[in-house]
Amino acid sequence: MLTEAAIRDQIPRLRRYARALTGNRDSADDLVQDTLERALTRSALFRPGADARPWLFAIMHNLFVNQIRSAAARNTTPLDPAMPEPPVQDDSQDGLAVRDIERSLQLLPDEQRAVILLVGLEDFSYAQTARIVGVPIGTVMSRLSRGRERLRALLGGEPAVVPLKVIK
Amino acid sequence: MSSAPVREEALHAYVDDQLDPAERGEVERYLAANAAEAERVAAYQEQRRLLQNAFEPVLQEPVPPRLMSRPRAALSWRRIAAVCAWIALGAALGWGVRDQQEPASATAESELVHRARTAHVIYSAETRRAVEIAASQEQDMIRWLSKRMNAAVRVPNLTEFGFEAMGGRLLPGKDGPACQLMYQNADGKRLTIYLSRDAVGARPVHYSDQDRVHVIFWSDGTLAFAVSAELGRDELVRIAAAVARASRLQGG
Repeated sequence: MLTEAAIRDQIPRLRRYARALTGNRDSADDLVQDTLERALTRSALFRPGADARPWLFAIMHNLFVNQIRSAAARNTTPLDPAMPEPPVQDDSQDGLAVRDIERSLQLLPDEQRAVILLVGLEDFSYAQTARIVGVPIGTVMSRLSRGRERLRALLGGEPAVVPLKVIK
Repeated sequence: MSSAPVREEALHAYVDDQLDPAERGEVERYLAANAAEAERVAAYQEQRRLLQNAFEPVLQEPVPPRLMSRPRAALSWRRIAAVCAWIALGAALGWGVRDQQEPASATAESELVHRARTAHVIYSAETRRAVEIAASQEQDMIRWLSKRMNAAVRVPNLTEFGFEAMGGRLLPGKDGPACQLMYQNADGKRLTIYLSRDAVGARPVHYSDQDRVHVIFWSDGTLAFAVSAELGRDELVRIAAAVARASRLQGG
């Protein structure tokens, strides 16, 4: 049994992960709220002595994946690298590193972004990440590897396409 | 030689500090002898640092009250409100089901996509008056549309995809003119390119809905583009990429 207080203690970290995952404050807090609701209804299933944090993150991850699936069935999915990206204007040298990382993160495939954040932001071990995401540890490693390499390209100013010329 | 190749997994475990001291030493020796790999690892470490910096402030934010209140039933007020907003928005937009939790930055582009999609559905159904000015008068059309749009409008050649230009028309955009170029293939299937000055700078997006119309949206520094057709997403993406390339090549 897990107490409500123990679940609530995790809210700030759940919010941080959700914010980074969705890239949007309101969507993130909605995801946190759904996670808390589900966790509270299932807290009786929680194994005593286990760590609440990976358990909560696993619930959130499942909700997030379901959200993506239903959203994909309806509309709006960000495009993958097959599409030219809009030219990045005026910020190449500005040192707006925080905005860059937030934006670049959202350009990654969802499953790569999730692994990068669970490992690199939330400091879960690879084994914990594998359990949260529900994939073998080898899959975690390959998502981490591909995601970090893509992020490096995005952040390192290796443009996927030549910037568009301004039409006069 | 002390710098035997180190597995990719070990490099990440090094970055994430998930190695024991002996393994760390091994990776460090390897990196000392491989500048390119050392640079890559440094970039990954920098990514970790940037992520921490970017999202650390969220931990300090006060938790919104709604997250602290005890939920009552599965069907919360929030869900009911979401469903109502959804219906209202669906009615306003007249298409598909839109999640009301869109990022705010998506608004301009989703409005534009909606206009483009509506224009596609309305005018591609026209058999005789599909266009205002025919592609046979291409130079006139280009001059006219470019003048009204105050930007160089191009008519990309899409024959490699089996689509021939039929012509175009001027349309109202959000705050100014927009225009639509129409194409047709041998099966009579129509494809449209919608051009607007709105939503310039927004990110590329793919939209689809139950009517099977797919829309690919993107923008360059001057114009926003939306290509619509009842085609598979992948084919439409290829066509959109060709349109983007054509605008870029001819744009300078």
